[in-house]
Amino acid sequence: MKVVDLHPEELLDREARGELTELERERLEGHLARCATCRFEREVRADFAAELDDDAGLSSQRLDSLVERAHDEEKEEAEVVPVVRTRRRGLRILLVAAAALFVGGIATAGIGTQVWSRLAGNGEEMTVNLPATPATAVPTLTPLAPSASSEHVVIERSETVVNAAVPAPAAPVDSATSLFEAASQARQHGDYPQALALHRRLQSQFPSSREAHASQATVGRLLLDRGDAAGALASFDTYQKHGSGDFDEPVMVGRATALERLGRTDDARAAWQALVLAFPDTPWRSHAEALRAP
Amino acid sequence: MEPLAAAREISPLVALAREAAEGDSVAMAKLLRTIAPKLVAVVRAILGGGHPDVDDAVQQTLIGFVQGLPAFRGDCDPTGYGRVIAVRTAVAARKRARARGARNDDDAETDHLVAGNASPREHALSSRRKEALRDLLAELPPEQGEAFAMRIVLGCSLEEIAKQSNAPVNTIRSRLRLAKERLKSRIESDPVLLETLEMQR
Repeated sequence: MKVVDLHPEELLDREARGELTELERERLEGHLARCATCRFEREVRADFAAELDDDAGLSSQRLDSLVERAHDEEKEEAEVVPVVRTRRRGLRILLVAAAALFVGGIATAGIGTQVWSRLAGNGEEMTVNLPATPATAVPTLTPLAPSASSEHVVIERSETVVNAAVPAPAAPVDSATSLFEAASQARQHGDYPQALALHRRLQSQFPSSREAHASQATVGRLLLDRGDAAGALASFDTYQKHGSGDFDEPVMVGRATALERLGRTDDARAAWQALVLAFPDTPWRSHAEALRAP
Repeated sequence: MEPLAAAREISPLVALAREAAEGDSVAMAKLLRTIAPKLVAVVRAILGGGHPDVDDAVQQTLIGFVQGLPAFRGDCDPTGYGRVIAVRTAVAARKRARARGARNDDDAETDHLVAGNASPREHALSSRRKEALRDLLAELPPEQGEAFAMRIVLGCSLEEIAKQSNAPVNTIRSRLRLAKERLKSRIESDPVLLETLEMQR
């Protein structure tokens, strides 16, 4: 390694913070005179600093849409297990993941039936009943029905999933919740065809479930984002036919957008106005008003 | 400590992030709207304004931020926390795009960003430097690419990168040195960049 390859990163940091002494500046300038790489670094850092200072970026409408979708993502997570809200959501994910690992590890070791309980915060509890014999399948952890207090969560092993005698399928999905969760995971990993397939299966197998209702909103969004405005509109319409839910506003936005993209201007205008009537504080209000008939 | 004094030590954005992390939906929406433009700027800086994956990367960044928020300890600015997520997401997107051979016009939409006070030549050189850096980020191993992007794009110090990466400072120093070796090769293969840099000696 040549001396010039020992780049004075600390001096560059101190220069950026305006803390260089005269002696340090001499050393840095001496290095920069010999090192094109560090000269480049200093230049390009300034280039990016100028770019980041500029707020020009996506249009506010596009940005709103992206923010809303990220926010929906959070709501959707909450929809899967409605009993777990607020700060316990992160904990729930960790506990479920830990429980899955725990079950797998203990089961592989051949240890008999176990009960694992954990209390967290003001009484949140999770219980996992483990199989008596080794199993290879990843267990499905099925949340019980929401309690009124929303404080007590009990998760039990699904009997149909962990079965040592009969090898279970690699990815067991046998409930509305697990299908919804699997679809959400596929979507988060960018596997949209799989996400759509799982949502369709959920809607077909559990048509009256809350998950299927929410699923219509998600499918609509997925299709809209992939240019299938007609398919998206059909999903949003189905969602609305099933009554109201937590995704009413995003569904109304998606529906109006789909209509707009389909060139159904009058219908789109009516859909935007309906949104403003139902949600006067919607961030889409200005867009709806801009489309209002003269 | 008096309650008011304690409250004064928490910035409004950190307080908002804590409320959002605890499940306050309104706080989450407000937080996302506040920081999103800064995260968009980071994604666009790394991918290039005209890159077809900008929207997807911004979306993934925001979702990553929402999902990561419960782990946010509130000991730093949430925008900085989000910017690191944006760097990782954008570097990964740039690598994926490179792998599938996607073509893009890096500065198609960002030309105006440097055009204000810069001469056409300075503007062209700035674009060329950024383009070289973006290409380099896509070539580097992920750890090196992330560290270098945090250094160059976010202007992070060695200690800041180490903290964000959960790695020792000397590991970060090593990653940056390796990244700079690749950068050196890239500069030496670009006569225009090399000439410009030689002129600055």
